[in-house]
Amino acid sequence: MTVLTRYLAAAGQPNMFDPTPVFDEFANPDGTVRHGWAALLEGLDEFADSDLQQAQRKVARLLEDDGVTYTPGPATGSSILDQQTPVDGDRTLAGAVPWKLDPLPLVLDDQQWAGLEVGMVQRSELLNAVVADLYGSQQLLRERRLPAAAILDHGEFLRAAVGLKTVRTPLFMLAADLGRDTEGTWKVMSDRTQAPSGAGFAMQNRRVVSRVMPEVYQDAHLHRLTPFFHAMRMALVDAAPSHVEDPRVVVLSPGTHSETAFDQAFLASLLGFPLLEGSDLTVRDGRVWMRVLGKLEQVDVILRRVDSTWSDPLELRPGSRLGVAGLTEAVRQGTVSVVNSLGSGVLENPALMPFLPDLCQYLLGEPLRVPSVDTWWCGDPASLSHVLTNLDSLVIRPICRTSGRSVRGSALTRAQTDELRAQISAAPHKFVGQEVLRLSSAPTAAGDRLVRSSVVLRGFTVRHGQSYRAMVGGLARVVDETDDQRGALVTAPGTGVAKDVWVVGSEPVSTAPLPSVAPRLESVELVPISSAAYSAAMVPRVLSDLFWFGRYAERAEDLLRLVLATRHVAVETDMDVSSDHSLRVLLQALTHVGASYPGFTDPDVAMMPELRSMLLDRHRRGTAAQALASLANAAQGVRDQLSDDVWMVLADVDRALAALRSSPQDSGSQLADTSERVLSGLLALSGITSENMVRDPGWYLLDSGRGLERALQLVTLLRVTLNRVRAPGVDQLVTEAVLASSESIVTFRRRYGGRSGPQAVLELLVTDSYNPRSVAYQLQRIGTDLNNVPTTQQTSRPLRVLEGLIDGVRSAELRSLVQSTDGQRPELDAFLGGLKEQLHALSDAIRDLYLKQEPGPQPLGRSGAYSGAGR
Amino acid sequence: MTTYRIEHTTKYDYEGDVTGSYGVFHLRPRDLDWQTCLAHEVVVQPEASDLFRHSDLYGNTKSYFHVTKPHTELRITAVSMVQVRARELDPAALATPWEQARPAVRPDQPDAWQALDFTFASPMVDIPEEVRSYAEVSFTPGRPIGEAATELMHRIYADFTYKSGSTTVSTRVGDLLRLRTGVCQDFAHLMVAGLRSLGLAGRYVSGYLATRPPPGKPRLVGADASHAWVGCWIPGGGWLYLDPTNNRLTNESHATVAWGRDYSDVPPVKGVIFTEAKKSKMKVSVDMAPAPDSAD
Repeated sequence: MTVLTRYLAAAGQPNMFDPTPVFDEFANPDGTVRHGWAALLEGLDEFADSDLQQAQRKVARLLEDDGVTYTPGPATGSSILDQQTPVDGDRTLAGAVPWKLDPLPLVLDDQQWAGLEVGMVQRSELLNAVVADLYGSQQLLRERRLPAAAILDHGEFLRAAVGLKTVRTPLFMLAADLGRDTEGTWKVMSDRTQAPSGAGFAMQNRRVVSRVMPEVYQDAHLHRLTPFFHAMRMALVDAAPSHVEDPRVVVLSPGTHSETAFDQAFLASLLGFPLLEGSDLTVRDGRVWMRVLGKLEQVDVILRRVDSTWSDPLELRPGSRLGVAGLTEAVRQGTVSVVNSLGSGVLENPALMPFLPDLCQYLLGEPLRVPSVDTWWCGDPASLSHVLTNLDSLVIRPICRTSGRSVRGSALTRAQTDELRAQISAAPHKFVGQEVLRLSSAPTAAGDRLVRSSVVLRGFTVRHGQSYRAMVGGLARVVDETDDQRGALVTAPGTGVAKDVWVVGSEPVSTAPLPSVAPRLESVELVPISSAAYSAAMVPRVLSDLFWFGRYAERAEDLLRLVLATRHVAVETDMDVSSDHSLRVLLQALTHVGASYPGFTDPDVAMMPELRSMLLDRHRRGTAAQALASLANAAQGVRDQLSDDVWMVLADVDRALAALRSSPQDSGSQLADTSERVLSGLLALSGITSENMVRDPGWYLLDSGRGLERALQLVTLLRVTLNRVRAPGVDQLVTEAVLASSESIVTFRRRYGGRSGPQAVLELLVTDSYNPRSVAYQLQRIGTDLNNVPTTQQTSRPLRVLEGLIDGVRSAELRSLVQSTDGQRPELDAFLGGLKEQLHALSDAIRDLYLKQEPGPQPLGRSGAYSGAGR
Repeated sequence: MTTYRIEHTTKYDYEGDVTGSYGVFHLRPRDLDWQTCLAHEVVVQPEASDLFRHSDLYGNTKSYFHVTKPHTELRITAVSMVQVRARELDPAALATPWEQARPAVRPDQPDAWQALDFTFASPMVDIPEEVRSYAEVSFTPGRPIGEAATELMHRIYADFTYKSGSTTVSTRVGDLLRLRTGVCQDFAHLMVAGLRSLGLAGRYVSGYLATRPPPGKPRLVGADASHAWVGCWIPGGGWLYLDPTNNRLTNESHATVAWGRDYSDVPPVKGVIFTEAKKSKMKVSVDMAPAPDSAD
């Protein structure tokens, strides 16, 4: 018996305790399989318990490799009953958590899907008409077809957006969360219109599932997601102000800490439009521009993933650092299209639901096709009394999401119920009661078996010509049956486990416009990327992230090489850490190079714990873990610029660190093993960046960052190891470790044979411009890099500083520099110290010329006085 | 009927260069049944590279500007000529029992849905329980709305002391009730909150008060600066305007510029600057005097 047939058999069992069982997506009540699932059932006909577990592991691994995460927001867990502090300027959130995906998709037969699809398209047209009216003639309010209180006292009704005549189609994209009742009827539980998220996750889910079950995927006759993204890209171009010929489209993101950062970045790269943050844009002449390499380029369309209120600190939310000052005015001037339009979040208002059937008849002249869940708006006295009487059986939702999450009446204590009643009675128009859907169930992997989990489907539509087009598929999520909060928190994004959604036909589905060659399965689903749009994203923030990507990658790499070289010496010297012995010298060098003081400069520090900390402690300055975390952070900021392989490498590095973390009793072998694995990951990263990245200004800055960091690390290392004359045996081991960690020991032996000494070391590692590990080589490399950035001028400061550095290295008198007095080499120390200082100056000069971002916005007149109150 | 010349200057000084100033201002007096704006000009120094004007959802004139020239001083000067006439209110409408002046219970009134906008808490006006307790004293059952609102105004005037600098833009209504001091914006917010706590529509009005009083009359508080007062919706009678700072209904000395739910909807000048500078100073001066050749 396979896992699926067992599920089927169990689903067919009558349950005497539950006369109206929930609708199961897979099994008919008679124990047969529903339409559409046949291919899956056949494809998995030998799918045993162990295969199921293996599939789950593979899914997790692929998601990890792609760096797919979700970042829970501050409000994810807090309900309307929690103490609310209004979300203020600080939107720093908890860390990202891995995205969870079930290997088994939710399968829907395309015959029944058709009805749902028509319904979602209709709903989009309806909501578009509603929002156009609310920000336009307001006839619906005037004629009392919608209660004014539910709109005017909604936090997303933006008065500054009323009368923006230039907005043609306010609703560009809709996401609707749907659930199925016991009869099998789909009902809309909530609408997402602010800045709908999840389309990127849906595509990512598809890519992973298609790789885990390639045969089933191929045989399933399933509709592809790609056409949706094609349509979306076309619609974005179409959304441009009418006079623009070749519009520039950008994706505006709140940044890498936002809840759905992955979704945003993935979508941006799928569409081939640059992923920008508010600080990358500026308003001049009533137009929006992006800052590209010292000049401004006009932006015509903004796919907005920043909530409306945060999009403009001038007119919408004072103090927001996520927006663009003047954006509202630019929209008003008709020079830019923002989609979804500013203020469209007012549609995420469950109070609209009871009115939609009539509105649909009135505005579109047809009945509403897909119903909403039964909803009672408490602003209506009869509904209020219904809600207060039936609190136990309802979900109570605030009309505005920013007021907190919904609660399920039955899950409350007596005191909480009283508190809720009081809240509702104080401002009834701000709440609705909604029926708790007994959601349909779908087979979901849990360990070695399939369980029945409740499923919610997020469907998407996007503007298409004069109407809308739906994604044939979507983002499904399953939630644990036993979770009593189910229904209340069910629409929290990122909660539960995601499922791919397969809409399958009985015939093979036409995939006509797609390329015939499909080297990798998932590439069938890729939208071709416009390279022009890519190279255009060279805004200072992006360049800065790439520069620091280079620096942190090199920093971590150099640190690990030194750890490994030190470990080698430790083994050679039987861990002799007594003072002035080679191991002690190298350990101290490690501390100096990382600047992770006090570290080994403290004579009493224990070696293993300190070394572990150097590798694992990401909250400590100068550790490899910190460099790696900063590397990952820089990479997040430019996810749309990097190949997927980068994430695979970073995932591998994380796994290596986790292995060390999980062996606290390690005496050194795991440490060495982890260091080697991390190092090889970083080498792969270096390969990816040098072999797979387009040579655009971003790449040149990344490479200059690498060169600069390598030079800095090397100079520091040489300075703390060659500064003194030690016993010959000690010096020998230290020198070899320095050369080994600089990847130059083989060359050194070949060139200098047995003769060694500081002068030869300096020759090879500082002045030899043919050694790709030397300081001289890095300087040349940086020069080449910077000269390839189009805006660089010969008189610019970085090149002048660089010139001085090159001169200094070229004219160094190594013989006299290594002279010692009383066992010290003061001249060498001064020389290397000077280099270090100049390298820092070079870094600053590069920052000022290429990477500098505007200061953040501040309010005009910060005194807190009323402007005009005077006196 | 009086014609005034109003000059309103707002000046900001910064410690260092400001590389960009974006601003929004509400400085043009409205055209109303009892008021006509005859001329209006605003000068921004340094000169703004963009200056756009539109009418907001309440019908106020709202302007946007952007100064791109680096500066350490920004000056916005508005000069307006405005004619203000006496205003008559329908005594029958003012006699409406206050319970019947709540927009939510007057679907028969075509403008009730718009007045409803002024019955909710707004960014700077929350409606704590205390404000209701304070306000409801004046609203005995069936009392005419005109009389009750006027008494609320009298009480605020009597209970609160005008003291500039005692509050900031972040002072909340609850704080005012404890402090018992404030400036005209605060008194307007407080009164608006009181009206709203009872389901009435309370509107915040931004404007000016004649600087030089007519001969023999005392100089009014709130001149020399922007002034603020309150509108209360009267079904079938438009809005009743009350000035709690001066304990009187508005008259020919009041020039109306803009209205909204509270100060944050209609500040005379607000904006966003981009600078490394840490400190700034603001100075405001207002002069409103009868125009020399038009006084009657």
